[in-house]
Formats: sequence, C-alpha cells, structure tokens
Amino acid sequence: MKMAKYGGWAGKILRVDLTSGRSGTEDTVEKYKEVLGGTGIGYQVLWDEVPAGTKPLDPANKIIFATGPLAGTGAPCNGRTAVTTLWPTCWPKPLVATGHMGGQFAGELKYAGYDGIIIEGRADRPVWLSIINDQVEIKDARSLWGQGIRRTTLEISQQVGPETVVAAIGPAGENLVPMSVVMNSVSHSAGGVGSVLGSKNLKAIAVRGTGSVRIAGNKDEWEKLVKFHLSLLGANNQHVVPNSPQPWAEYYNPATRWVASKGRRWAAANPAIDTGSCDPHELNRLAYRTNNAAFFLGELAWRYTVRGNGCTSCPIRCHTMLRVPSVAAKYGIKEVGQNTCSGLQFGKAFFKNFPDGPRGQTQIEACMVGMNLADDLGIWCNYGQMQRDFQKLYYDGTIKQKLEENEFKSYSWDKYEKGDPSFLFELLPRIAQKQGELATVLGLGTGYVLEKWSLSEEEWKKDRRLMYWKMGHPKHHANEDAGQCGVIINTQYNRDAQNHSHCNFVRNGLPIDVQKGLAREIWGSRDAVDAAGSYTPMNPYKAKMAKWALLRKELHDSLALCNWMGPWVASPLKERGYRGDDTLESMLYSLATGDKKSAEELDLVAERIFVLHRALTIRDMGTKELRTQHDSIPEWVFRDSNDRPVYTKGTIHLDKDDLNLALDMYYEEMDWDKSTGAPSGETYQRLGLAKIADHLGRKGLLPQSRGEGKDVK
Amino acid sequence: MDEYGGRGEMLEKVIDSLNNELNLSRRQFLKISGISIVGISTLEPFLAGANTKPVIIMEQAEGVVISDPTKCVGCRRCELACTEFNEGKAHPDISRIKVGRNVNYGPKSVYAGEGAQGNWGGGLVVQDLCKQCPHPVPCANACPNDAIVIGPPLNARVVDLDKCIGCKMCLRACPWEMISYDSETNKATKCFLCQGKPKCVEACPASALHYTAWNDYTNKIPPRVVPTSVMPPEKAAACNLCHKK
Amino acid sequence: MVETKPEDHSPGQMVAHLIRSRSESGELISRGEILRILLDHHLLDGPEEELPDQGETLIEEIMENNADIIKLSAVGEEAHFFSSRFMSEAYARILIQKQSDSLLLIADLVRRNSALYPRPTPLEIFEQVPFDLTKEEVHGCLSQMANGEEYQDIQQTRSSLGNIFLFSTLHLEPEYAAMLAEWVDVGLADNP
Repeated sequence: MKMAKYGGWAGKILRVDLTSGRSGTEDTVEKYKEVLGGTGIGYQVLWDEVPAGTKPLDPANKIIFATGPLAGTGAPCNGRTAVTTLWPTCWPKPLVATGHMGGQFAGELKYAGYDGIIIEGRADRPVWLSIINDQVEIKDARSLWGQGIRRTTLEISQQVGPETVVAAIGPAGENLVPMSVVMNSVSHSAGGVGSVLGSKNLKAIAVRGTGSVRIAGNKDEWEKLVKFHLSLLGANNQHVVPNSPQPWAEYYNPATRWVASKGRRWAAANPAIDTGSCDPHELNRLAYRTNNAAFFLGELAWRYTVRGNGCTSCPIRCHTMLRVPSVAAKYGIKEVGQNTCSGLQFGKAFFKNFPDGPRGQTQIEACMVGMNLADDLGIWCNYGQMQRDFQKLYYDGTIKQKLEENEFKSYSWDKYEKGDPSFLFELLPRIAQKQGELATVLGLGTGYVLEKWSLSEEEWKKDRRLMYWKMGHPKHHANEDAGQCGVIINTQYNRDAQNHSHCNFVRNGLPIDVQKGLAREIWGSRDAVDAAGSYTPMNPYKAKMAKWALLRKELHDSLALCNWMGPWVASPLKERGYRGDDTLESMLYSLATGDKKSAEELDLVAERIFVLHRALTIRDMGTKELRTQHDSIPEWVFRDSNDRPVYTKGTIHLDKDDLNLALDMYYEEMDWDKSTGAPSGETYQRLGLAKIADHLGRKGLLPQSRGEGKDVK
Repeated sequence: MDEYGGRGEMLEKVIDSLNNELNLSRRQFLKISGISIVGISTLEPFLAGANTKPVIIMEQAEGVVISDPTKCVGCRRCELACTEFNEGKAHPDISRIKVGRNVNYGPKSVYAGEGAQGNWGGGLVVQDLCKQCPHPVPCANACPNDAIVIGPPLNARVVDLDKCIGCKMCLRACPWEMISYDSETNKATKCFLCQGKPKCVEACPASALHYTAWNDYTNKIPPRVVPTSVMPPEKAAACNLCHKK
Repeated sequence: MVETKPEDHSPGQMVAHLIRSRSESGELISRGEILRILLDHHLLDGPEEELPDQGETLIEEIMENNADIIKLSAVGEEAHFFSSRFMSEAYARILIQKQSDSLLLIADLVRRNSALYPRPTPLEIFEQVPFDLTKEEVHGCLSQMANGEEYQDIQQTRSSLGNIFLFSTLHLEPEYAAMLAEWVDVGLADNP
C-alpha cells in the first residue's frame, strides 16, 4: 500500500451530488492542506463553489461536514466535525456559518477514509447516504422519512451494523424548520443546519469505517506528547481549579465545572461510584472531574447520574447520562437521557419557574422531557434564544395578541405557568411539524420572528436578559465574561459566536493575580484580562487576546480539537505555576501529520481560515462596510440597570467610545482597514488568498485606504 | 521450509497435476473444482513425520487485564492507546481491547431491544478483553501454523507475525471474539499485555481497567459467540497422544 | 499512591510515610498521635522518662530530612503535620482551624476568597466536606460575627435563588459581591 506523504489526514474528501446521484473523491492534502480541514474546507468550498445570492435551501447551496487531521487519533478532545453552510436563521440575509457536531462522527469518518463530505444539489426523493469505507451509496429513505432521529439511527444500524455512526435529521429538518439540527450518537448535534439537509432530501449520513489514521511521527514521541497534553487538562471548559476545597488543591472556586469530590457520586451507576478527590496527576480519574448535569441542575442531579459521556477520544465526558425513574410513569418517556449545556437545559429553559424551585425535581424532569422530544424531533434552541424569546413573548402578552383565539386556547397555558413539563408535549412536536402560527413562527429563528410579528429588533437589543446580539442570534460569552475582548469576539460571526477560547481562560477558577501573570506571558501584559465585573478601559493587549481567541477557534475547528476545551494555556499543575502550553496545537499537528509547523506558522493558517470567513461575509453581504453594517454591538451592552458609571466594580456594561477604540485596536491587530473593518488586498496576499483579493477588488469590496475609525451606530 | 512446512510442496504437486493447462491461482482453482481442503487429510500418511511437531501452549500467562463496565465512559481511549502507542496508527478496529463494538447498543447489538446497554440503552459499556486462556488455548489450537505462541516475560499468548498467514481461523476460534485481523498487514493480532504495562489500563480516564495477576476468567465471563473453528489434524493427533490413557 | 520504600524502615521514615498517607486521604495527624504511635510500637529506645523527648527529637529530624513534611498549628493548639506532596497548605489550614475555631475558619476563608479571586463565599460550603459544620453551627457563627467587633467586615449578600454568600468589605464592594454571587448562582447556568 502506498504510504501517504502526510499522517493525520485520511486523504480523501467525499463529494456527493444528490441531484445526479453521483459521488466521487478528491485528495484532501492536494486541495485543502492550506486550510487544514473543518471550517477551512467549509469556507473554501463556499467561496469557490457557492455564489453570492444563493439561499440556504436552494439546491445550489452546499453543506460541508469536515473534520481535521487530528480527528480519530489519541490526541485529547478531537471528536469534532464542523458543518459549514449558508445559515437558515441568519437574518436578514443568509450568510456563512458553522455548526459543530461532536459524538463519534468525526472519528468514524476518518476510519472510513475521509476527512470530509461535501453535499451538493438535491435528491428528488428522500435518501440517506451510506458510507462503509470506500463503498458509498445513496439509498432510499422513504421509509425513514417522518421518523425521529432515534428510530432512524436504529433502522440504519440494523442494516449497516451496530457500530455505524448515524448523523440524522428529525421531522423538524424534514419540514424545513430553520430552527433544526442534525444529530449523531444520541445527543451530539450541529445546530441550525437541519433544514439545509431537509431541503436536499437527505435524511441521514451513516458512516462505518474500519481503517486507520496514521501518526507520521515516532510513536514513542507521540505517546509522550499525548500524555503531556493529558497532564495539562482540567475539567470541562479547561477549568483548572476544583469547585470545592480538595486536599491537593491550593485554590478552589465554586464557579468551576471541576465538581468531583468525596461523597459526590454517580448514584445511578450500579452500584454507585464516588467521584472522590481527583488529584490532577491522576490521569486515570480525569473522567470523574466533570458532571455538567450537577453543574447546571444542582446537587440533586448526582442522584440521577449514571456516568459521563461525550465524543470519541475525549476523557472529559461533558455530557451526563441521567436515569430519572419518575419520568417514565409521569410522562411516558424513557428513564435515561443525556446531553450537556443548552441541550441538557432545552426543556427547562422554556419555563419561568417550577413548583419546587429552580434546583428541584421538576426542573430535572423538564430537562428529561425536553431532551426526549427535541433530540428526536431535531429541534434547535439557538443557544437558548428560542426559550428566552418564548418567555418574553408569552409574559408580555404578544403570543396572546398574535394568535387566533382558537389556537391560543389549544395550549394549556396554566400548565406552562405552573412549570409543568408536560406542556412541552404540546409545544415541541408542533414546532417540528410547523403546526399553527406560534410553532411555525418560533421555528423561524429570532430575526424572522421579529420580522413576521412586526416586533422591534431595537427592543431586543435593549434587553440584556434576552441576550440577543444581532442578525437573529444571541451573544455567546461576551462582556459578562471578558469585557471588551468578549464583545469583539461576538461582533465577528453570522450566528452566535461559537467561541470559547477566551471564556475557558477567564472562567478557569484561578485567582485574578495568577490569571494576569499567565496573561502577561501569553498576550504581552497583565492588562489583557480583567476580573469579570471589574473592567478597565480598552488596551492593545485585549485586542491581542481577541485575535488569539478568534484564530484559535478556527484552528480548533479545522484541526479537529474541541474549542470547548482548548486552548490549553492554563493547567491545574501548581508545579508549572498553573501554566499550560500555548504550542500544543502545533506540536500535535506537526507530529501527527509530519508537516512541521511552529505555533506562529499554524496561527497564520488559522488566520487564513478566519479571513476566509470574513471575505465570504463581505462578498455575500455585498458590502465592505462591516464595521458599521456587521460588527454591531447591542444597546444593552452599554446599559446598567442602576445607571452606575462604567468600570464600577460589580458592573459589566461598557462604554461606546471605548468600544470604538476596541474595534480600532482589533482591526489594527488584524491588519484590516479601520474605517470598514475589511481586510486589505495586502492582507489577503499575505495569507495566500490572492484570488479572493482579485474577486473582491473587481466587485469594489476592498478597502481603498486605511481610513479613520467611524462611530459605532 | 515454506509457509506450509513442507506440506506445501505436496499440495502444489496435487493441485498442479489437476490444474494443468488452466493456470488458475490456487484459490481460484480450489473454488471451481470444489476440492475440499479437509480432503487433504487423506494425505495424512504422507504428512506424518513431516518436520514440526504441533505447538500446544501449556504455560499459564502471568497477568491479565480485567474491566469494570460500570465505570466505562465509552471514550475509546483504550483502543486508541492500544494501537497508536504500539503500532503508530490509530486503528480501533484492530484494537486488542474491544469497546467500540459495545458502545452503541451493548454486546447484544441492535437486537437487544429493552435490554439494550450502551449509549442507546441503559448506558453500560462492556469492555471486552483477552482472557489469556489457560490450556487448551482456543486461538492457538485453531492456528494451522502454530503462529500463536507465548511471549516473554509474561507468557501472554501472542501472534508470531512471521508465521501468521492471515487465514483468520483464530478469529473464529475465540469465544469472546478477541482476535483482530489487520487488513493493512494481512496478519492477526491479539492482546500481548504490553510487557506488563498495558497501555489501555494506563490510558483509561475512568479507572475502568485493571492489570492484575492472571486468573482464569474463561469460566467467569460469558462468551460472545459460538466459536466455529476447526482444529488442524496434527494438533488433534497431539491431543490424543497427550491425554489418551 | 503513596509507595512504600521497602529499604527504609527506620522509625523516622515510617512516620513520614504515615503522615503522607494521612495527607493523601485528606487528614492531618497530631503530634500527640505520632508520639503515641511511636511509644505503642516501641519505636523509641532508651529509659522511659526520656522517650517523649526522644519522640520530639525524632519529629524534628523527620522534618529536617523530608522537605515535604510541614508543621502547622492553630494559636494555643497542638501541632499537626501534613505532607505538601499530597495536601496544600490552604487545605491544611482549613483542617486546623476547623478543630479550634470555626468562627475564625469562616472569617479567614471569606476574607481570603474576597481578596484573592476575588469572590464571595457561598454559605452552603461550610456544611460540606471538609468543613462539615452543622446548620446550627454555621448560623451560630453568623450571629457571633454580626455581634463581634473584629468581624464587622464580614457581610452577607443573597442571589436571586435565595442563597446566601459571605464576603469581606475589606476586599470586596457590596455591589461587586452581589454581582459575583448572582453570576455563580444564576449567570453561569444561563450562559452555558
């Protein structure tokens, strides 16, 4: 067998044209090495092959499932697939965005021999894609159409085998509900993309791979590197400090996700397992550190915890498998459910309160019902925005006002107000089936909700509790976490910022003085980070941190490393001064692929990928004026409910002029034009994107000169 | 001595005389002509006394890896460590500890129904491990080439890669389906205990694996399949020689 | 895991080993207990009246020869020992103070947290490991602090879930403490 020049990559990209029914492969390294994988490949395909003006549900749109050279290896936290496409809920104009899907899909795809799949066109009837190593078939899905994600997975597994990884849409995606997902391995979804697959009549992608991923470097060196990486791991989100005092720990912080402690048990395991004191040197106990059900739902969740779960290769297990016996009799659903973060709280987040409070039994049951329904119907929450919108629209009377009386009466609002989880059975299936005005509108995504019901986006932008940012999507770790750095990050995307580089650091639990010491080493000054709620004016180091955060997210998405864990710039190890290692990504990449790149060289690739996203946004918006037209900040960021001055301890609001300065500094850091926020021709050239510069130049979408900073609207 | 230990020459002569002008490959010819390999046993008198005595493993292994399914979190880092740190490639399909096949539904696969384990069932993930069987060792005894032998320092049952021809009889012989076949090398492979520091045990983030002094688990852990292998006649003869009173 | 060094069974090393095992399980060991063990196991030589002094000398030697063995005592209380290899000083301090003065334990911790991170301290942790105070003990301490002059800096704030957090005004402004308490109790879950 001919040995590939590089390790890591499986070597092939599968291209499937659903219109013609034909499929073929391309050489990953030949075509996409300069953008690595993941979002890099996604953005490049969209640039090269999907013209501006294409709409998400058009056959001409493409959807790219891509992972990276590290996926499928023993590198910690690599089980990620980026799903890039034109985004159905991006408002008012669809633009490029990415969903992120964990689970087993990335690994299995690599073992089957592929680094990615490009889905094109539209099948003329429901189909599913079968990938068994190099055997690729488009199969009839008419008997699967209409089924939930669970039954679809089972029936396909009966055909292909129990180890098949099935990424499927549910009725929500089939019915072209924009707020829909594709899901694999029970609980791992890529949000927002279900309807794109539905529009292509693609019910599922099933993968079975029995091949291997080659490590180019010396295997003993690889083993050492993997173990080094493991030694630096914290708990979920790379929180490096336990949340209660532990014998070995110098620090502890109730805010962290490192929740293991003597007496805290996986009580629904049979028999129960004590998580104990997880000394960071005990790598055999890594999986006990995190219990996100307990973190989000309170101590009661320990009673129902069976174990952790998560992506292939990841020791963190950020999903929690819960067994709640009461839900079987009460709601007729399975006792067992699992998910994390927003997915875990999907059902709970609809309700304003529960009869037994926010940490009682009922809220857990609401989570179970929510997961049972949403993860089978394939509904998306948009980082909880659907639920926040729903609460507001109900309690301010909008829903009652907008619905016809009969439809309004068809919901048991008394149950909703009481916090009865059974209400979800009335709401969620209707959203998936677009039954009625309420369900249909909710399924559109916030931007289109506002438009459809003639609601004011300004009102959404003034209310901090709604967490709305722009373009139909919420904030995601903005100023409440990381001041100006967080705000900058949130301006840059076309959906909620799926970026955790910055908040993994600021939330890691270390005392602020230690964080500042690390910040000086990583971004050049102690002033790069403030303690949350103790903000200071903008400075260039915060801009450096923002750039680092943005680039690393694209790098992780393209290498296949989990940005909900990395980067690993802090560690739980006192003997290292709590330092992590900022060159981990480059070390792993270099050894696995054999393509030696320093951290700076790899960050340049990351920059190329991020700028591709910027270029796509410019092209498809048809304007270079991103500073004023795109990089916007909602009004609530500037407001304090008690009208206190900015930078008062205990406030998180910021100053408009200061944020203008922040954008100036950020654009400077990126070497972009300050007045437009657009990369210049030179920047594209520097990044090897000359043809992009050419195209944008011809369309008048390159900045002419480096202008003065303009005010934020 | 060729791969069949002298018998090959005999086989060649038999087939050649029948194949004559057809010039088919050995496998093709046998397929078409329907000659059963078992029939070759009638050549026994010719084969007896041909070089090697069959190797029968008698020695006990000194260590074994055992698993606690209640702790397994289904991350498959054990499979990755087994293959990456030993062969320099991530190849869970040939891992010598087997977890991936049980992660979704459990050992009873998609027909498990209400009793399903794994991610789609009640959650339990069973980690399958080589028992380093005591005598009689099914995989070794099924091998037509004595390619499964004991390896120092622990007498683990290991595949001798020089002798293995990739026939997969050992895969069929193991009641727990623990032998892997690596299509990239055309060799079988099985757990060899990593010189006493099993990589899987080291890699497990949930302390769900333990390396311990050898104990007989063949009668303590239910089999996964009914083995369907055939014992080569020379070995059968050796069993009779040793055990018959 | 604390490994036994088979070659070194001197009384000194055995005691050091004992201190380390205890630290690993999250416990201190007192001077009194060490001396008792030395005596009970006849690990000291010489006339009976000199044994306690010998014990003291041995303990000094152990600390000299083992950099990780640390002595810690609360004011007016018996000395305790731990190994820094397995236990942090912060944790050891909690265990020491818990034995003598829960009031000081709470105040000290609250002040330290308010200065260092900075953050308020949720009241509920004092009923959990390793503090293990009862509800009554905790509330008793709160009352005493409210009346004690030297504890006037210790104040309370409540999150919207109704949970109480303590902070020290020496290091944290009340509004800041309130915001941080709300962030921990509510904000984090709302911003997964």
